[in-house]
Amino acid sequence: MDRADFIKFVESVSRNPVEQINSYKRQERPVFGYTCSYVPEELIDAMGIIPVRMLGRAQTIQSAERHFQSYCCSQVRSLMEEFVDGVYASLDGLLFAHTCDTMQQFHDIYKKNFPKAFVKNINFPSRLDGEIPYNYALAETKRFLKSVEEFTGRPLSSDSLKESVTAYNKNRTLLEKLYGLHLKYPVDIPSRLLLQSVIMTQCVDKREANKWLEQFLSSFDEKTPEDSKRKRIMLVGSVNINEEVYDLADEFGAMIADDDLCTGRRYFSTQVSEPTIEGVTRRYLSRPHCAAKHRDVHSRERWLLELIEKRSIDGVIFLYLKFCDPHCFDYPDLRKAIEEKKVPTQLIEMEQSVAQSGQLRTKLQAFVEMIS
Amino acid sequence: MEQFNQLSEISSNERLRKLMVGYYMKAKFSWLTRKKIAWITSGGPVEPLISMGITPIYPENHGAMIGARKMGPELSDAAEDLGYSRDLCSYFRCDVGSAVLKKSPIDIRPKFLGGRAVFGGGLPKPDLLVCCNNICGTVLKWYEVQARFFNVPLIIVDTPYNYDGETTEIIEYVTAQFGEMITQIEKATGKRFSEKEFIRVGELSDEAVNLWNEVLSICENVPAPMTCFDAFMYLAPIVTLRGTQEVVDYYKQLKVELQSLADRKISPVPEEKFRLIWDNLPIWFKMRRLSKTLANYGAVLVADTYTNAWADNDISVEKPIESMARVYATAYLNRNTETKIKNMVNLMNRFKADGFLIHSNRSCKPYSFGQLDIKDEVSRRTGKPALMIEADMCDPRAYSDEQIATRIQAFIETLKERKATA
Ligand code: SF4
Ligand code: SF4
Repeated sequence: MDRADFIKFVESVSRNPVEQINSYKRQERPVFGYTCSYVPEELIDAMGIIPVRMLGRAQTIQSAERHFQSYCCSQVRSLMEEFVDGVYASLDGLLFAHTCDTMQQFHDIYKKNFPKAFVKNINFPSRLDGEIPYNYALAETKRFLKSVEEFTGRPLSSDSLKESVTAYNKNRTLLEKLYGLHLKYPVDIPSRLLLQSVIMTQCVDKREANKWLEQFLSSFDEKTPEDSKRKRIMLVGSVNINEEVYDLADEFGAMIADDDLCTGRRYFSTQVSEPTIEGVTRRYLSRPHCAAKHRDVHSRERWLLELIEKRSIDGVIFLYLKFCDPHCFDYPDLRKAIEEKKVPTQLIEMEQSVAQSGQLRTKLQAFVEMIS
Repeated sequence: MEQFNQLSEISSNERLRKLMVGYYMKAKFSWLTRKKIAWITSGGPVEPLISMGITPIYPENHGAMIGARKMGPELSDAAEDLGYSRDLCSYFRCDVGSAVLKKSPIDIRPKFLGGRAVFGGGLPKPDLLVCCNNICGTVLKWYEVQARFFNVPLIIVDTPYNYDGETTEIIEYVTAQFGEMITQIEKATGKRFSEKEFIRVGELSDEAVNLWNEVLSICENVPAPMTCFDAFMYLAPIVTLRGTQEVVDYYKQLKVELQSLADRKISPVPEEKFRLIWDNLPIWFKMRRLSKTLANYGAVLVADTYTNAWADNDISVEKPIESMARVYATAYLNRNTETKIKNMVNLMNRFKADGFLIHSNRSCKPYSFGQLDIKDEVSRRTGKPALMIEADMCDPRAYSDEQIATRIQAFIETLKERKATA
């Protein structure tokens, strides 16, 4: 495998995972879709089911109009569109996790419209602080697990959980390494490869994903770093599948150096320290959290400032989906806290998978100029 | 406080006005009585606060007043200037706008101080914030914002949505949090919790909720002695002051008066032709106009899902904390969509409704997403037609009178045809 193969692979899977799902189905391996990164994937994987992340890619909304009003975020609207249109009909089930109001209602609406589908929700707490939420999260994880065990007809074995946790932790290490190498080789590892690689690993059996990543990353072992003074931009938001932002940053001589996205660092941060249900539960409670969750009133601010410092970030782009409430609530205070550290910010609101107008280009260009 | 019913016979309306003015007045002057103030969400566990002598303040009730006074756009603009999106809940935007501008329908100007606005308009500053997310995830974020703004402690009671109904995991989790919450309140306010006092307040709260349920049920009578536009007004005390004797007394009187109207078949609408159910929050800035429009067609809103959300309570003496956990964990908006469908069908039958009006409320995503499916399903199960109108409870900027009027007119035509062929 050379680098080009890897790039081709991540590109095709991240843009359209349906072929990947179908190939698993041809091997008679069960596949579950999951809508949120709070679904404890290790447990699903350990039950022999391949979890595949659902990201709405529908370009236009028609079928979903009958279920979601126009003021619903495009992640959910375009996903519903694809479900109604049967894009993911070959999935064996769909998993939800509690996050925001919109996702919550999406679960109910999906269940109502697909009464025969296997649909489960892990009712993850909104509070992440202290032992009371932990005790609940653990009890809820066990309840959730039971329903998956009913599907497979056999209980979770501790050996396979160990194996899964190892594969997942390794995957996290590899993605971390990719992010690190990207800073040294911004040409050989273009920014968009961060996004595509994360989405790829969300859609592929972790062992396979790890193999690809390992080979790709080891090709940099002996390589001298590129000489780069590129300005470093960090993205903050919910989910994103837009590659253009990454490409434009590169094109204007900057780079997307890191992010706080669900299709980015939030997905792979924090290892599972102990290969048990307890250990897995702890990891999901302690990872950098999504805006829909609460640790304390300054936890997201602290985390972002820490990341900015660690990665020497020059500018932050809040990349939001329109109608994404949790992030819109956080924006003004986060902006203030970041700008107080003399790091400029820019807000970009978009609709998932809708092609961006020239505006995005103009905004990116102006922003890169500003931080240069 | 505005009144919408044309029934001057209801003398308890004056009592309601006094009750609410007194409540806000006392709260504004709490520094005199050294009472602590806690801001709390509309579905939040207020009984522990009242039992500990803390004044609960409801930004959502305040939001409704702002909407009814048509102050929404101005206050919302102030929040938008800070960077808050116009797509966020308008109660939140109004609350932030009011806190920043110190403007509000509550602007107390005591006579003895020459009628000057001494403390600025708006809600009294909180010593503590209590957020229960059994209505939405919005309040979690909203209270985080306010906790940073006022720099006061925030207590969160996390009540997981009842995706699979009421699970033991949820009840245990919420029960544990109530224990924790009481300790936190004690710490933040220096007040002590007494279980005896708590049970007393809980009983009063139960009594008020039961009375409220009875008040709403009077509209099962044909003709109904009031409409939902009245109920939306009568709701304020059950939200803000349940757990106090005054509220119990007020609803007792209201109930007697409404019952007497019902017995004499007196209706606020000259001729009751169509009985309708309302879903979602009121459109506060259009109450008068909508109530007139409907009245002109002889259409009466006889029940709604919103005011009924406070008609369910049961705090038991044996296990007060656990039963409180159950009540708050299973609040109306915390129940899944299938339960909401059943509830609506039940309301349709109980109140002998001819159809229903669905307010698709841009501000309230958890209440509104699912309505398209609910609409089809409730129509299918009851055989009754529905009309959905898109609006917002406080923000009139996307509202068109003409468009709504035309749609209501067309809906009334449908109802007429159905009656004719029935
Ligand atoms: S977090 Fe935001 S983008 Fe994700 S489902 Fe909720 S509203 Fe949509
Ligand atoms: S989102 Fe809905 S339930 Fe939540 S505060 Fe706003 S109006 Fe109330």
